[in-house]
Amino acid sequence: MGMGHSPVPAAELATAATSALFRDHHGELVRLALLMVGDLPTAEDVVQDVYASMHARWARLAVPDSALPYVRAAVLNACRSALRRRGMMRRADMLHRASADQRPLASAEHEVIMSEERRQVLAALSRLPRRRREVLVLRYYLGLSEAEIAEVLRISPGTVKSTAARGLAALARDLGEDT
Amino acid sequence: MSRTEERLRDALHAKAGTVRDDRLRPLAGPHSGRGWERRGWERRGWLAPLAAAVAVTLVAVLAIALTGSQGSGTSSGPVDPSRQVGAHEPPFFTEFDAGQLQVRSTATGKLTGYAPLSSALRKQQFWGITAAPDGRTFYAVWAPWQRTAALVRPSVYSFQVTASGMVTPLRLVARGPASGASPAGALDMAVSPDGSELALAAHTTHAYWSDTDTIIVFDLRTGVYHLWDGGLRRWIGTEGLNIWDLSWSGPGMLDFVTSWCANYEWLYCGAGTAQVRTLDVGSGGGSLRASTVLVDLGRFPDMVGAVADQQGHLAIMQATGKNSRGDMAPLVTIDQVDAASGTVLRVLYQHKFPLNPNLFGPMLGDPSGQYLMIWAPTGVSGWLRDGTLHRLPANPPYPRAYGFAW
Repeated sequence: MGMGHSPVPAAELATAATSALFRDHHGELVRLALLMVGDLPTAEDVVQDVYASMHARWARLAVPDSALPYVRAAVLNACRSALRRRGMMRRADMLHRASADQRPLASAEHEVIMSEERRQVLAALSRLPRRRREVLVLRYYLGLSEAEIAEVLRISPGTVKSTAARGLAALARDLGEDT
Repeated sequence: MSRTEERLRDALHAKAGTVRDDRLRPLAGPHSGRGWERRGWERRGWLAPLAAAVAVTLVAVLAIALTGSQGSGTSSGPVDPSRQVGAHEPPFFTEFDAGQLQVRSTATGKLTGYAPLSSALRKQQFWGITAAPDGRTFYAVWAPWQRTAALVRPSVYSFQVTASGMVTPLRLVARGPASGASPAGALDMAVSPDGSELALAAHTTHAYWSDTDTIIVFDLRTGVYHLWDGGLRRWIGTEGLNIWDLSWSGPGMLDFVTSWCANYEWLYCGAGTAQVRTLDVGSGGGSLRASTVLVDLGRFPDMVGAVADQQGHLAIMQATGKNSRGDMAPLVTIDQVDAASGTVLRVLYQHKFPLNPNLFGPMLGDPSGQYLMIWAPTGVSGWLRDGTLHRLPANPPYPRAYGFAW
């Protein structure tokens, strides 16, 4: 109503938008990274790197409409890079070893939570091809739909469906279960 | 769900559950002083001048855009709080940041004080906060972190800002359901006009979707609660029922604005499905199916927020528009609507922002529903009066909408 206004600097917009998104989803993103790379320090590094990178690019990205799927995709990409850097992509027992590596630092609570049965499941998951692993984590940890997973991984919903089915079947075989 | 799926889901959530939010390293940003330069800019030093140049360019572009977008009539961008807060606007607002529940002056933004949190409470999940009609009493809710859709027990605490401006310690008022529902967070809360009851819309988790399909009403004097759970769920894609706003229309009568989400959307969902429903909460609990539709809001497909007042009006916030590049540059409009007929009575506020509409919201009302506040994670959060958005002066960006109350 005739009052003046204060233009919002672009840098402030970028900072605010990125900060809010990451603060609200920091825990979720670290957990997602943890399930992909296996250990918490690396997971935190991955999310921090994505945050730093995205912060610098946010204004140029014009604040994408689907920011959270975009950030999830960036975290998954960074996880792949981290795994490549560490030469861990071919380590069949990635998650299992990462859990074991973390054991000396883990709490008694962590030990109770991570029962042997759960370790077996995660080890079997780690033996799956990368895409199947990502699809299953997005489906059964984040609870995303096929369409949402397709958006994050930039593949078709049909590919998501078939990849999930094959991944589950392979997991069941590895765990000695009937599908 | 097959046994393999059950085991996989359990193992993933157990592994993820080993991460404690309160023990995560804080993200290092440009204003945090926590090593941003060391981790980010220094390693990719060539980016710094480039980003700076981009930022300067965008500042200029956005300044022009803002000036150009200044509309006529009721349109006004956020203004700095050069004007005093009126006699009726709530004197304080709260925000939840860095694990602190902060109380600030609406007029100056200055920190009035903290509501001190115990170490036990710091380890719990903060659900939300709301103000009582006196504007000085606040009710906040925490609950233990849950690793699965297990049963949790939210706790309601209260504190006050005294006449001398002191913030009193938190006092436990009530504990919520330990069985029956599995709420995982609150999306809106409201204290009854007489200050005796607190209504809370709780978010319930399921295996593949989520609903805000539970309303808990606490008697703040006795701690007794009643639960309204389910009854309005619909399966549409991956999301379900969402309750946007709770407000008391009279003794024992609770109105709520609800919609059904069709697909995953970042902040808002259920365009075109919104309704205002009313529920007699004096009946002692049951199904949300007991509520009745007051008005259908399908004519507001771009609704991103709604607040009901106690005079039979709704304030409905919509965000629409795209710029020439196809990016969203929303025209934000807040209409006052007759809650009985859905008729637009007048435009309370309108302005075009160079922002993605998903970045707006929620719109908050004070306990009377008459005084509105808009939250945005972009430094334009503010309160509304006479068609002008008065930018909140302190500590932008306010990081968490659910820490806001006034």
